[in-house]
Amino acid sequence: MNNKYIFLDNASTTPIDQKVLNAMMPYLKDKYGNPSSLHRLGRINKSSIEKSRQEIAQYIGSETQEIFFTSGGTESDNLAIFGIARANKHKGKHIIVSCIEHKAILDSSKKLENEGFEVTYLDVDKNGIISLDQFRSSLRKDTILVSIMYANNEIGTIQPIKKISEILRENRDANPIFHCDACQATGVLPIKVKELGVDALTVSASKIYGPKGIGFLYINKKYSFEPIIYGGGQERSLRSGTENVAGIIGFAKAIQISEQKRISENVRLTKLRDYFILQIKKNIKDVVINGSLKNRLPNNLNVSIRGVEGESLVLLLDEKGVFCSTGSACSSIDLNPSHVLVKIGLPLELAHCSVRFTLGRHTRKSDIDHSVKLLVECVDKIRSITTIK
Amino acid sequence: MQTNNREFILVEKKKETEDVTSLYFQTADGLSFPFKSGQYINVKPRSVSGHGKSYTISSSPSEKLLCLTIKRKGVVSSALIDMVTGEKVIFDGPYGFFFPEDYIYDVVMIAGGIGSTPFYSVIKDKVANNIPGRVHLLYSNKTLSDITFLNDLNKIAKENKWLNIIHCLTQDKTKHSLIKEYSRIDKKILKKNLTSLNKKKYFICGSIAFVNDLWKLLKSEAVPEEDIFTESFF
Amino acid sequence: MKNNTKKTCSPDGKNWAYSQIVKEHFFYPRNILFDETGYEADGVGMVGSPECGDVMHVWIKIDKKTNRIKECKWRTFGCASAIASVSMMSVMATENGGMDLKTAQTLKPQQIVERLGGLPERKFHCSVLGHEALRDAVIDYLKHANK
Repeated sequence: MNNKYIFLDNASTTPIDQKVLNAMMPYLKDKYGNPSSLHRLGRINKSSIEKSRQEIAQYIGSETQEIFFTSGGTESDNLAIFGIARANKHKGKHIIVSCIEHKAILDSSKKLENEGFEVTYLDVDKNGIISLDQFRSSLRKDTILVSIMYANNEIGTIQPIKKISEILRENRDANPIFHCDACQATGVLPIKVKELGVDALTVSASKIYGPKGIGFLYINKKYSFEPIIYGGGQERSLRSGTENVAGIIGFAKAIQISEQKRISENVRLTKLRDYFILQIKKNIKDVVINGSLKNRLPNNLNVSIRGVEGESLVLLLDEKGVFCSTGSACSSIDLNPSHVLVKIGLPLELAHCSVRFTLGRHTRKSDIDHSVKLLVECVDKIRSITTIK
Repeated sequence: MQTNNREFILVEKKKETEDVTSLYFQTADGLSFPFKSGQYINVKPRSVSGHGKSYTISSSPSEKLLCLTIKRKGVVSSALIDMVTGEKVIFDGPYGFFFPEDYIYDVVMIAGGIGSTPFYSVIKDKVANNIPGRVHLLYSNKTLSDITFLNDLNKIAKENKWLNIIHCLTQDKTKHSLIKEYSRIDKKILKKNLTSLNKKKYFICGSIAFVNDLWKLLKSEAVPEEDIFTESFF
Repeated sequence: MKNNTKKTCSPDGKNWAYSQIVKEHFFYPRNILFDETGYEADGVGMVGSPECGDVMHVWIKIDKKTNRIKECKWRTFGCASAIASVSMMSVMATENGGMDLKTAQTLKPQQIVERLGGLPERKFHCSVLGHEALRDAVIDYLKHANK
């Protein structure tokens, strides 16, 4: 890790891997052709992006023409919700999502309610997991789309995606398209679409040591969807716009590297994370861990430190060179704390005290030791001035 | 924390404008709920997760029913506006000290949109209790159809010479007999309608941006800070 | 007083969306009461709630000769803006011989924000709590003083 600071906010974004950057560079310099151009410069890039598309398809076990590149996870989520719902509305107008999806899914679904769609928001338990019974009973003949994220970005807990797809297979009446936002799970959990049983999948490069501004939406060729961006007809007219060639090349490389390191990193990060928790509990009292540690991303730690407001802690840590994030209200636009923490039943008072540490490829034990030391200092400082004792 | 919870029942609803509704409540226990004009209550409807919001009481203390005049904006305001008559809700309050008790001097009320609610309560209180003192109400809204209490306020002004209402529309040029100005409240409008800015107390209520703008405007016209009182809605 | 309301981060990321003054009062807050046992306050004010993410406690001592605030101590559970707002408020309450009670009761959040060099609009409510807490403390003092 950079000895100037310790980055523990890998769930929000990750530093680009040097090999990814190397793979991208030629496409930022000499190989600048527009893949839609007829001339050689264009054709070279066209074939490069198709090669990357093929690699990615292999990685998730899909066909090449089922991968559509977008500007990232948010756009892929929007495309999934709006694109699938609108193209299938003749079959029904009911959608099911979990109440702790990313805002890209929730806000898109809310908007569809204005277009005459009905949305069921599934409750979650204190670990952020949906009730399979509630899911089963929410399915209707007119349910056309289900969207459940694989792993949650705030508390890292993992949904039973395979079980959900089994329930869909068993159900005779409903036949919805099953979309899964796998942005946080990529590079940690295997994401083979057939094994998972999903019909559509969102993945983003920025969470897997790839570049920002590129993601993809996988959608099974059986299903139709409408574009939300119109123009030059790229991505078979389903996502127009000059392709982010360097981004696509980098994306494929990032996926390749993260798959190579996946299993060893999972083991390493689980150990580190659990060590972190131990040290925090040893040195700081009145700390609550949000969400179960079982069925959770190995790098995710979300805690509430009583009496210590989240934004003030994050800013004090920032000053000392430790970067993390908070679910506290003061850091959000609408002055409400993280919807995820509220939905898992965390008392508001503790939601305001929440802080999220997400470890990464560059995190070392020495970083954890140093972070704990600084965390103790910052917590002590804030606790000395807090009204909540 | 100190809370003063009381249960209320929704008795009546009145749509004021496209997105503003007045809700009339009575106490569930039938006992009185004393409050001062300009005060607010805190409410968190049961259907809302996350925290609640504060709403200024738009009725005067002498009215039978407690009224909240709410603009539909987010989750809490929508939950309240969508209540059905007979439904119960808990209010915590009253709180706030926007309006002082001794308003015997000339008062200038500057309201931005739904910021008129505390002023409506104060004006009705003045009428009910014959409290002396001239009131200039500068009421800024985007369009004619946005003006809450337009007719009610006009009626009070007709019957009470101490009330002078200056309606300002910022996005609408529709000519109407009650509209005096067709721009944001600025230096010119203040001077034209108030003649002198001296020896007056100013009360500004509206969105954070509106209140901050008017605060700066009044200060730039040398109105002393101790003569300006503010309440921002957020 | 120059009111710098446009807040942008500097290219090196060192400046936040907060002004230098806010930063100063957040990292080095003034007038904290670390331990109130044995502190004989003339008035105490308490506003906010843990559910809302902001709680402020204010303790004041009044100079009985001049009827001005001679000490204004506080503690707060809240974000950087809340801490900076109440710290600045405590400075304003006690500087220049101390605020007279009328001014303290009618202190406006705009005045606190101006002294802080501005706050982002979504943080404005933090300064409102500061002025309410001071007012609460003054009213508490007056209630007891009249008895």
